[in-house]
Amino acid sequence: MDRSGEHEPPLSELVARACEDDAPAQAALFERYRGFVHRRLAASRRRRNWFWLDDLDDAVQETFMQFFAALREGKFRYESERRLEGFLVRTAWFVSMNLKDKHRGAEVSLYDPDEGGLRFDLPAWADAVFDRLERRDCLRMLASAVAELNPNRREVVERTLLGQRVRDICAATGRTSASVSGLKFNALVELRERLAAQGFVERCGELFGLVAAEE
Amino acid sequence: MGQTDHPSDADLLATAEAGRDAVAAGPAADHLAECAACRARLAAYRSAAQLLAEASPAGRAYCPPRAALIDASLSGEQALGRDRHLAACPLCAEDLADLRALEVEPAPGALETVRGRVVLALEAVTRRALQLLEATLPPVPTPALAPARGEGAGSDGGPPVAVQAVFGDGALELTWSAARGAVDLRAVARGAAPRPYRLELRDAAGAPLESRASDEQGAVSLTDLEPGCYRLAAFGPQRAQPELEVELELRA
Repeated sequence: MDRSGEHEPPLSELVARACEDDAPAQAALFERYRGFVHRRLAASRRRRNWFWLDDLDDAVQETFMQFFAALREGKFRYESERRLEGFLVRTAWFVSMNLKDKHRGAEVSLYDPDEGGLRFDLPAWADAVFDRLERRDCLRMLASAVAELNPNRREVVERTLLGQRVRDICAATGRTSASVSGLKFNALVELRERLAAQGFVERCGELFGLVAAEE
Repeated sequence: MGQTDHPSDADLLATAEAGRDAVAAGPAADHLAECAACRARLAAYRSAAQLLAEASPAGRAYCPPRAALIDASLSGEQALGRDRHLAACPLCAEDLADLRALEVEPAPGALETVRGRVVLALEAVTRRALQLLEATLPPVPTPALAPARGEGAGSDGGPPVAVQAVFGDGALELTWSAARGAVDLRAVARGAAPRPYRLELRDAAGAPLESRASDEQGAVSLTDLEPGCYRLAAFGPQRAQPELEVELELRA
């Protein structure tokens, strides 16, 4: 859109035209707010160490694609520039979180040595599950059984639950591979026995795809 | 391996995680075929491992959708459930913290860097367009954004665009102009900014390219910079770490 010397339409008009898939209006909005979105993403990447966000321009493009799609679907109604900026920020957030999910895989660790260890309270988390509520009681049973293990076995189980592999646990605890492997094997066997004693398989086995231990 | 030579726990773990086909062909296969106790322990381990994988919070199976994390229209009970979950789930708490970071207006240094890129890009495009259209077409109108000009600019220059970044207790004012396909950058300390200071120009990877000390007026000039990505670091007196860092992206 040629901004040189011509009267620029009001923002409300641009948004209304963009809702109708008007390409020049969308281009004008992109030019006007591209820098805004780029700055916010760049600053957040620095501040939050978003190592997984390696292509900022791509994320900006995706943000605007999602934004224009939301306009077409009537998910945003223009009220003020501030609200428009807020909507762009939230759209950029969804885009960023999707990119984070792609990098997450099995490498998540919620065990933060800088914060003195576990920054995850298993019993509290089991109590507060939001989705799949039918599993809540089962997760409470699991948390209870984990709490009954001796400290070394409990630590290995919690770390395993949070995505750490044997080598990660060795690095975090300073134990040898043989020691951690032995702890992990015996911990899970004991956990299974404790859960069986509570009737976990009968009550929860189907929910978690479990079969009887004997094969 | 006979029935009395049970594999170690570490070996059983390796067997359990190797997969059933590998177990059938592995060295423990003969023992497992004969030892019901080891088979039972192996099965118990696998069962517990599957449970932990299913129950792991890392899979986000028990988390609300992200839209729910920021949905102000959730009903009282739903909102309470969402808030309880946020208090207990570090993954969701981290996502929300990421959103809060995005909602914060960045510091002036980062802000002005992007503006500078836009301004210079417009100016360069205008100049190129003028060259192409010189013989046959009317001149391209002056862009709405005033091109950046340093001190001593020609009469055709628009008002100088100076951006300021926080530097010590004052500010560092950056002005720039583009000419002949290159960029001249000038920095001036304002207010209670450190004096003297040293300005270091680095490439995009952070490797130093040029270092200049400020003059008596607290100014540093860097001339004939080629378009590209740079980092600018400003050091106060006797400082080993920069007190200001900005990223510059100069496009032709």
